[in-house]
Amino acid sequence: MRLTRDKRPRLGGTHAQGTNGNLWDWLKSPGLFLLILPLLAGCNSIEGFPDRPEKESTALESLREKYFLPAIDVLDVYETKAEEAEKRNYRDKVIHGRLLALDLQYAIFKKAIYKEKTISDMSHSISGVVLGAAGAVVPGADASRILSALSGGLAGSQTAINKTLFYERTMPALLALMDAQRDTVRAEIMKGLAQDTSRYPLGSALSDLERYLQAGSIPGALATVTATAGEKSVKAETQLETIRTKEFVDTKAQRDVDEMLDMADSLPAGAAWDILEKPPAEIDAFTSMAVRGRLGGKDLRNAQDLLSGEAKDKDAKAILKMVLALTGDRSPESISAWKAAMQSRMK
Amino acid sequence: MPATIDTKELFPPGTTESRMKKEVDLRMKACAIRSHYTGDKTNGWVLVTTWNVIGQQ
Repeated sequence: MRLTRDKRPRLGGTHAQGTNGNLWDWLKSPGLFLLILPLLAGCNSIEGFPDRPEKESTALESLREKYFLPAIDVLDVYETKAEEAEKRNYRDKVIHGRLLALDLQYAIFKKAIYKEKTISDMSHSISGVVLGAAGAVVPGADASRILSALSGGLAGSQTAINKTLFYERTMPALLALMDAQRDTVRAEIMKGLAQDTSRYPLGSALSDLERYLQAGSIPGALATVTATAGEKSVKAETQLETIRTKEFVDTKAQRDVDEMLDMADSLPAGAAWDILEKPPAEIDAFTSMAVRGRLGGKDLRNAQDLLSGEAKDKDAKAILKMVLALTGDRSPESISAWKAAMQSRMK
Repeated sequence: MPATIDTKELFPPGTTESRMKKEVDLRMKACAIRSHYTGDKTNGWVLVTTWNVIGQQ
């Protein structure tokens, strides 16, 4: 509804009682400005992030200079280190420095997104305050009609400010997903850094850092949303639950599993898939279902594309270790069979 | 939503907490994202472990 001077609505209509003014006059009044002023004045404080003691851009710049040599140069420097301790120290320094830089960059990214949302929320709050105040001021039968029209106009402007509902609904979910994905990759990197450089060389760590970067990106999150739809259906059709026996938690059985996990780590490239393809002992239904879940619904027998080859060896080892940890049969026979299979493939 | 799966294992009454801790260690060593148990020695334990889906983050 357009409010013109000729057709401006009278509050309470022609039968209004008392001294009520009209809406047009009220909207022009200093009262409206006073209502909105605190919201505008508080803009800085509603950004939702505390100030940093150090400027992010300054911190990032110093990290860039120190840790962001081109990957090839970093690897060259790494190769010049002869001793394991030196190599490991250099690897850890580079990775921790880059992790910190990526975390700072991600914080800036999130802040920018949150700011967008705050602007949108603030416009919504203002419209809510204006309508709430007008509702309190405006009595009479025509008031609801006028306010409804005005509300429509404000809703329209809200849409214009928002452009889309992206920042309102989708972005918080995507941010939560990005956080979770980053946590997952970060945990893997930390696990890697706990190992020596022969098991987790700098090249692998840099490659994992790339995944870390991707995990905190919108395209990365959207890709996961799509993939998770498939995963959820797998979850729905499987009950990943089992009952363990007392023998399963026997001290010796646990020690044997621990040893087998070490052996799996030491297998040469390709051997883990080799063993999984023709397991030396039966893999029970629970473990098979768990493996299937981790393979996005694919049966282990058909997982060649996911686990075969040198590039996929890390994943094949992860699956083998999962099988070793979860397989319900921890009898001496079963453990001997798994150990023998791994032993025969050791270099 | 992260691309993960959870496994749930029920351990019998009488199992000591140190055995449960060892089970958690074994799962973490086997590349789990996280693993935690609830319960007690008298009533038994529930061990829930989260694993990543291969090929996704």
